[in-house]
Amino acid sequence: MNRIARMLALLPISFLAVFFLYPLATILSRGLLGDGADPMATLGSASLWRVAWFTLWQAALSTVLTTALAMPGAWVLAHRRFRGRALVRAGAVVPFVLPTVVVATAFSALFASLGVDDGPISLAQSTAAIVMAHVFFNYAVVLRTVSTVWERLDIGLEDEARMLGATPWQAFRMITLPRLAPAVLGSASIVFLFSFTSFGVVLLLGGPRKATLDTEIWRYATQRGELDVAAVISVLQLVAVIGTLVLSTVFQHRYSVREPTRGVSRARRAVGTRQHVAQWLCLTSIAVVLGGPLVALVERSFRTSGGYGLASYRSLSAGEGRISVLPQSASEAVTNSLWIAALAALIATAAGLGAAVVSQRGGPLGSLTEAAYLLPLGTSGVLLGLGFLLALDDPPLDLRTSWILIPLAQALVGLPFVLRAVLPVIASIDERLREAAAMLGATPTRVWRAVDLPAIWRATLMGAGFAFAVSLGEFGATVFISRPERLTVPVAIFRLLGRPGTAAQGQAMALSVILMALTTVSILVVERVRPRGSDGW
Amino acid sequence: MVGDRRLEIRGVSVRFDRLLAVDAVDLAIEETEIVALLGPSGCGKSTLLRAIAGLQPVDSGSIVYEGVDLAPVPPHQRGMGLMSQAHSLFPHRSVAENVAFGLELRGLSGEQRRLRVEAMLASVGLAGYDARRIDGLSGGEAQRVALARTLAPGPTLVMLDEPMGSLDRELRERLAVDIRRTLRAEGVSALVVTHDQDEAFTIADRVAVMRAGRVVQVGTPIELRRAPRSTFVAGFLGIDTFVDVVVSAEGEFDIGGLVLRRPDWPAGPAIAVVPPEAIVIGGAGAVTAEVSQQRFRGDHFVTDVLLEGTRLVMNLVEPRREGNAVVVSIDVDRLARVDG
Repeated sequence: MNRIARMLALLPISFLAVFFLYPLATILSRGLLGDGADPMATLGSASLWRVAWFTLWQAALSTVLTTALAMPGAWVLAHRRFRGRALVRAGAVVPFVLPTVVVATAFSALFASLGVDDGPISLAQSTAAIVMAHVFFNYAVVLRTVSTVWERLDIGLEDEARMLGATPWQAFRMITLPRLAPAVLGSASIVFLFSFTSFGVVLLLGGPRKATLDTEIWRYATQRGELDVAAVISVLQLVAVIGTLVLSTVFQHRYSVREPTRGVSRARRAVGTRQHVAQWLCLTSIAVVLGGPLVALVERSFRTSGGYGLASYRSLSAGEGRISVLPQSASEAVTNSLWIAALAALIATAAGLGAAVVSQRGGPLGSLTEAAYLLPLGTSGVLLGLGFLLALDDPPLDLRTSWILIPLAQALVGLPFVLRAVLPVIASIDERLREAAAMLGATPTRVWRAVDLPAIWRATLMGAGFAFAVSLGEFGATVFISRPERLTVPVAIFRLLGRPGTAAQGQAMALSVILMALTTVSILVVERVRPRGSDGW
Repeated sequence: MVGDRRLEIRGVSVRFDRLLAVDAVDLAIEETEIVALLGPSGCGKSTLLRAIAGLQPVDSGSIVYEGVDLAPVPPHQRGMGLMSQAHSLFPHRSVAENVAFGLELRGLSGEQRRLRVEAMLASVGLAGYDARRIDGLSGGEAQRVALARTLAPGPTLVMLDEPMGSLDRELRERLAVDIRRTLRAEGVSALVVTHDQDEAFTIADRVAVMRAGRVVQVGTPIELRRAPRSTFVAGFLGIDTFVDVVVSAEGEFDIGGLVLRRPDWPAGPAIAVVPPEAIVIGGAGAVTAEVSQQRFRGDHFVTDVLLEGTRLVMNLVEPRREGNAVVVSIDVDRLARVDG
């Protein structure tokens, strides 16, 4: 590697060092060595442990429910061929990339439509609401991970077990389930992490009395201005997250099974009444879990005082005057969000691609880069936001008043998606192709252009698309560093939902529908460029 | 070999959309008998196996096992063993845990299971393999483990689907011999699917030849070789010399100028199936033929000879130059007659 390549290799790791490791280190030092508040006093408070306990059990409950509800859907996607299968697969991922504020708004809309938003059986501001939203949000994680693995399992082995005397249920439990275990455990631990660090959903659906570690961090940092307490809670949250990651890795390793290599088994059409009924029950389960809240959201956004209409949408446009509670108009917010997300996707893709190339070259720098880049995966947006707030607001880096912080934070949130798309593809390139190209006289740059680039451009586009979609809806980090003159759509929705009155609620729902549409379109584009045979996200 | 009927298949058909994969098949298997289902790929052999196992719904006909009609019996209660094609071991279980699977389901105690697993592994020649992982086994070892697992619960009938399917030629022969010995020792009836006639002849007491969903001929290996009922069966058994003949009222006909006589053959046009072993050097009424080509097979030469323009195939121990003369006759009793 020549000197220029060496310098280039340092770029992605320096980006991570300045905008991820440095803020995180600042939180740690403020939390552990802070002089403003005694960390022990914070950690000794009973109310903090009540919050921690609630964070833990609502996450555990969300995880169990999500996994249980997603299994029938995963089965039908893996084993049944039916019209619209690809559409269901692609559509199922939409809730996962939906902004948390949209998810929260959708559930408010659903409760209102079902008439359980107040009165004797009210779900508003309840734990049930939070858990339901987590199930909705994370359903696709289990659905897609498990169905991809399930599809590749040799289901002939179940027949084998049947012939050795197993009932259909025994064959599933003793033969298929153990081989699905790594995928189930893996996706369940991701669901647990997301539910554990959930912020927007808890903030908007839980009301003031339901608090998790992440909402407490936000409350202490922005509402009460006690940054040191926020840093201490962050340390606690980080320890829990790292513990979960370690446990999940250990368990996945223990249950991992090497399947014999074989092609993807073909899903079959349902035959006979029983199989059709089973198929439709499973598809209905997907539709109910994923469709209900979205339908309610769209329905509510069109509701007016006297029936249905575009009143809520019209009131968003600048022509009818600014929304009083917002510093900028809704259309300005949409423009801001699109620009910021595009910039964030660009940064994330450049950094991710750089890191992937460096890590592929191997060596100590390569493995270090790869390890460092997987870190942001487990870090919640709130922690990133707090880190930016603490670390980047005084010299040497005073960016507090700069809107550039927003795309930078969003790029960090989008980065793992770029890596997850690109890294496996780079790893799968046959080294012999590179050798063959080199033996034919190609320079290293030429080899990269001839062999690597054609293989990874689709994956790169896919990763960029995901980063864009995720950035569009990013809320946890953005809400910390949001600038009044650079209002983003999720923050605008959050502000609107905080206002009483049906007009603001209607506007929030209309804006949510717009955001959902933008996100969905980017995901559908991603599905178009998805490399054949790629799984995951 | 003659005992009670273990399995009786009567008029079984299986339909996939428009394709009749199994077409009105009749077949019976006696106690401790080993029957091979021989046919080209896609002829319906595996489908018939799955139908007997209960894994494939049957459209018509009946399957009677030890006197019981199996129609309402689900696969796991049929009490037969099925060993599918390669890669059928459970990857998340060790060798011993694979073999023990059927025993666990029958509620055997740990000690009973251990003894049976040990005995089964010993009988397939894999004693001491208990703790091995599946992904470390060779192809031949994996097939032996699969056989041990199939036999462990003590089924009275086992079905083996291409048991030597993916193995090397040399290994196949040895495994086929071992499988036959093991099946005999366990005293089970067996139905073995294969597309390889050598394999079928090595393993089976009787062979059923299948073509396009139908069983076209059933017989012992010797019966099939001596009296194939169609050029398809003869061809599948490796005989590729067919001569059009016209049989006279006295049973006389002509092959390459040699006048041959089979009083038992009905008069009229027919096809004579001429296996290589029917052409012998010298013998009564021998004539001169011309060697046109030889292919070396290790212990013999497959030799094409021309007899007045008729191409025949014979086996020779010695090499002959092309164009050389060889004096041959035809052993008429080795010929088979099929309808033209």
